[in-house]
Amino acid sequence: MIEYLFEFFSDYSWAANIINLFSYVTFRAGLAFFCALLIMVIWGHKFLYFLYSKGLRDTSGDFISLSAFSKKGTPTAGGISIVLITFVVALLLCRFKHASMYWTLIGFVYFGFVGFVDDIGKVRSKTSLGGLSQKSKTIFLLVFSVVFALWFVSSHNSIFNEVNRTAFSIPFYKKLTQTVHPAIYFLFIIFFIFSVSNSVNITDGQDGLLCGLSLITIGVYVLFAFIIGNMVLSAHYLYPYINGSAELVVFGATLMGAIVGFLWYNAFPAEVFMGDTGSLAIGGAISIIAIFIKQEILFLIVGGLFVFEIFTSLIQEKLGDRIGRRIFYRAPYHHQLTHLGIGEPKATIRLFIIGLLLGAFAIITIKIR
Amino acid sequence: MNKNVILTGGGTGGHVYPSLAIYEILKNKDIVDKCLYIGSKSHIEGKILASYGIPIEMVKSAPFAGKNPLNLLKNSIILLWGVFQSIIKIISFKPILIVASGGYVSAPVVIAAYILKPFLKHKIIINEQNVVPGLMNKVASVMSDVVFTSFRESNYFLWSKKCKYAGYPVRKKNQNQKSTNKSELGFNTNDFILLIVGGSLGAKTINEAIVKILKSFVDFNKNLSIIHAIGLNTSNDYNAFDATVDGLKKQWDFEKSDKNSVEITINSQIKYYGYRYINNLTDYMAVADLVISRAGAGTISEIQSMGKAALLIPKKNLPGNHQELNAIELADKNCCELIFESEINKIVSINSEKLEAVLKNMINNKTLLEELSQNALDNFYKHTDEVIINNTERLLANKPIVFDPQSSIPLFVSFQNQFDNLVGYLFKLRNSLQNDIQKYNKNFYVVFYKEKTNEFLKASDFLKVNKGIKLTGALNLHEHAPTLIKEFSNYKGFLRRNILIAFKRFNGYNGGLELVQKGIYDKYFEVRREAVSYYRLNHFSKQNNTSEHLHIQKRTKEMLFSYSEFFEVKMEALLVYVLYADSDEIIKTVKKIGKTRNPKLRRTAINAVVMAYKNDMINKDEAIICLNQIPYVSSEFEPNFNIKNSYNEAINIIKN
Repeated sequence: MIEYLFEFFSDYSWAANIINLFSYVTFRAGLAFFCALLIMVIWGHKFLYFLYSKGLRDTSGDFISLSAFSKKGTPTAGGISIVLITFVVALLLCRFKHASMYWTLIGFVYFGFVGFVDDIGKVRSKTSLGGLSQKSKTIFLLVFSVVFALWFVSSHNSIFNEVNRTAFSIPFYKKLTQTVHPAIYFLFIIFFIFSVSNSVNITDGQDGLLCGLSLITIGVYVLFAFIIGNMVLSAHYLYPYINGSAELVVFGATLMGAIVGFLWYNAFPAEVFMGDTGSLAIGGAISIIAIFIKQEILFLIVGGLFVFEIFTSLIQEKLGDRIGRRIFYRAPYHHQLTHLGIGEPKATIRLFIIGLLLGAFAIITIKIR
Repeated sequence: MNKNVILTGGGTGGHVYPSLAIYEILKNKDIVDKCLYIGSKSHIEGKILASYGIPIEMVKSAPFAGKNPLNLLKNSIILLWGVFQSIIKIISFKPILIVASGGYVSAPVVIAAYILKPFLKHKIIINEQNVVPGLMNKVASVMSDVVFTSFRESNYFLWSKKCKYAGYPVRKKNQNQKSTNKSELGFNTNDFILLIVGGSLGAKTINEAIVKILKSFVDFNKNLSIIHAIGLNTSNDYNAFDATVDGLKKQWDFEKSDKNSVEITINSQIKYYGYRYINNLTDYMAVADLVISRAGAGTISEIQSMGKAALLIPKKNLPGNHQELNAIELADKNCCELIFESEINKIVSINSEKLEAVLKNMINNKTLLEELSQNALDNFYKHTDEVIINNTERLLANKPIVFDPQSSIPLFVSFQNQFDNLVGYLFKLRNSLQNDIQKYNKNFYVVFYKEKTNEFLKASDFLKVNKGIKLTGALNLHEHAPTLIKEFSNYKGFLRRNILIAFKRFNGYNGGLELVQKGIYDKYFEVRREAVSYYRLNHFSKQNNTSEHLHIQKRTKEMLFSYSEFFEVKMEALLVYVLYADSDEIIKTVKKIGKTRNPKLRRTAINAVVMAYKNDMINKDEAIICLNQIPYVSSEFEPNFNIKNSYNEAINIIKN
């Protein structure tokens, strides 16, 4: 959008050069990344203090604490900064030519808002049981997912043609699969958004864990979006060219910049938590980007840790309550690592290593087909 | 400037009387003058206000509750219309102050007042009479300038932090009531007056219990007049007056009876008067020598303001058991006696033998009654008028008010949030009172939760049985142990583990060896862990060489050396092993365990070495050899935040 500003000066030659520069996706992505990063780092402490003084402090003290020290009093809902800064910078630097950009941005902010309401509820009721109930959170998320999925499988979706719209793209395979019936794809989209958001939400349990893992995931998806959005590269690497995914690169880069800026303060020992605001927003962004570049199945690899965490959590909760005993020592998995005696920062870094390996493996699937 | 005030609130009498009290208090000091009550005539406030001579106007309102979306929509529209009507009335009456006391009737008025505040510059006061505010007052608190609470804990629940504890405002007529004579109401001055009140609608359990015990007063030797306000409830489930009269008819002949009252002669000295509704209840309360009632906020405050001895029967199964826990707090301060309702097969009732015994004891014990009434009077917050007057004056003069600091989480809320909070509280209570068993047994929390444990253990839902097991441990209830031992194998994993943890908490219980024998072969690792731990703490002794003990010890050795055993179990097994093994074996085992990766297991090995040393299983040199074989490098740590430490120290110094 900021390009429109420069068009006022289109008489001057230097303006033409700048506008030319802005037409490169990589330039805009890099600029967005650094803008978001700088803003977060510079105003981070003031924002932190703002949260603290408004009373938005973490209250997870009722349950028996799994770490040896108390995390009470740390400002939470820091995800507000991620959502706001990403929203503003993306608004400035992205081109809104395609529907993909609109949906991504709206979904991102909406999920962040739902998480924000949940955070406020938790803070007000002073226990981690407060806030939105499981059921109401699900309903709110479903509202957006259903609308989005309806649009996606309908003929309003001009980004994909009839054939590609409801087909899957499986890693290691060269072509898209057969077109699936729209109803099935509709349900799949809803299921995908719901499970990705929840798994990202559950992974937010240790200092800096979600920041790092989501950086890797979004980074891989940005790379894929860049390839898929570039006519030459997508033909070379045998991916179907998708019209709107170049802008998703810029959005993804903004989000990455904001997360790195947040990680500046969230690393162990954390001075601020992102709360449900940040984790739901990031989950929403990841799922919508994945759907638009048709790399949902890739999430099993690149987001493998998220899948694993929600898998352990579900099993422990559902199966464990049914048969009346624990299956794992603790769920989700990062708590198990802490219980086994690995210190919290070390467990975080070990999970980063695994995440990096999974991300590298996902990138390799570009070549091995 | 005029001094008009609008009062609102209603739905039940409990909202109307406090509003009137506040009006009287403010009028006495000439802060307000004319008054208008906005409510709905069809409800109780219409009947009450008529006798006070206060003009009343109606607006439409509806409760914003329930899950039916159509209903909610309909009620919202009615509410909106009520807001319009209120706006018109407020503009025409031009009040300087609006006093609301909760109930959905006050919703349209408060919303209208909030909308008009920037233009008409009036002030809004909310009065909250309960410990747990209803939704209306939670929302209204944000729209108000100050909320006067009757309980200090209420400000925990309110959404706005502009709270001021003022106690319960009582009408002036009450406080001067002490001078009412018994003879004015038709009794002899040496009659003992027993007043039974169950709320304006009546209390089914209390009424039924009274019907049962009346017969036992035939031989009671005292001049006694029993006055029973039976209740106005005429619903399909329970018609209070008719049901009670039917019950009485089977046992007694009525001396007098009509549509609203019944009179029975029990013996030459005792008479019973049952009324559907008593209009001048405060007069009767003023002359009563003993009051039986529920433990609602308003009733308690009125009883205390008059300094009456009371026997409270709190209503069971309210959310968070808050009426029962509230009553317990009072009984702990010796302000009243307490009887809990019990629930058998989902029917709630009062144990009539217990009621009869407590009642007769109280009636005959003059010192107890005097003590209770004096404590009740002392406990009554006497500065209500001052607080309300001072703060209202400041508010009207636009001066700032010092609000109460945020109160800490009330006990019953923490119990509701996490059951383990309750278990921990009871366990700590037992430890602090371990030298005074009598006092511990009389503590009302203990009595109440002992009763609840019986219920929980008989439930069919395994989550409730789990709660019962945890309480058994916290309250040291040995009587349940045989059942738990018998049913042990039938329970699920968590319950088996919790039974062993409960047994660990028992004081002075020597059984449970069979549980250890079953537990060490259990398929769930947490049960094995607790079994070994229980064995070490309660049963192990070096002298005991029976075959069972040897077998258990052999099994712990197996567990310790097994490759696939969970580390938590190995930790416990190690701690037992060093108590009976030879020193050579100990050194070898510690060396083996020291190689493990798990730092918690290594830490336990260090503790085990110390324990072995203290129990003379190994000497000093051997202990040092053992310690050298345990690497103490690990990444499990506990950080120490300097700024948090300084902060906590500062708080401790300044607050103490």
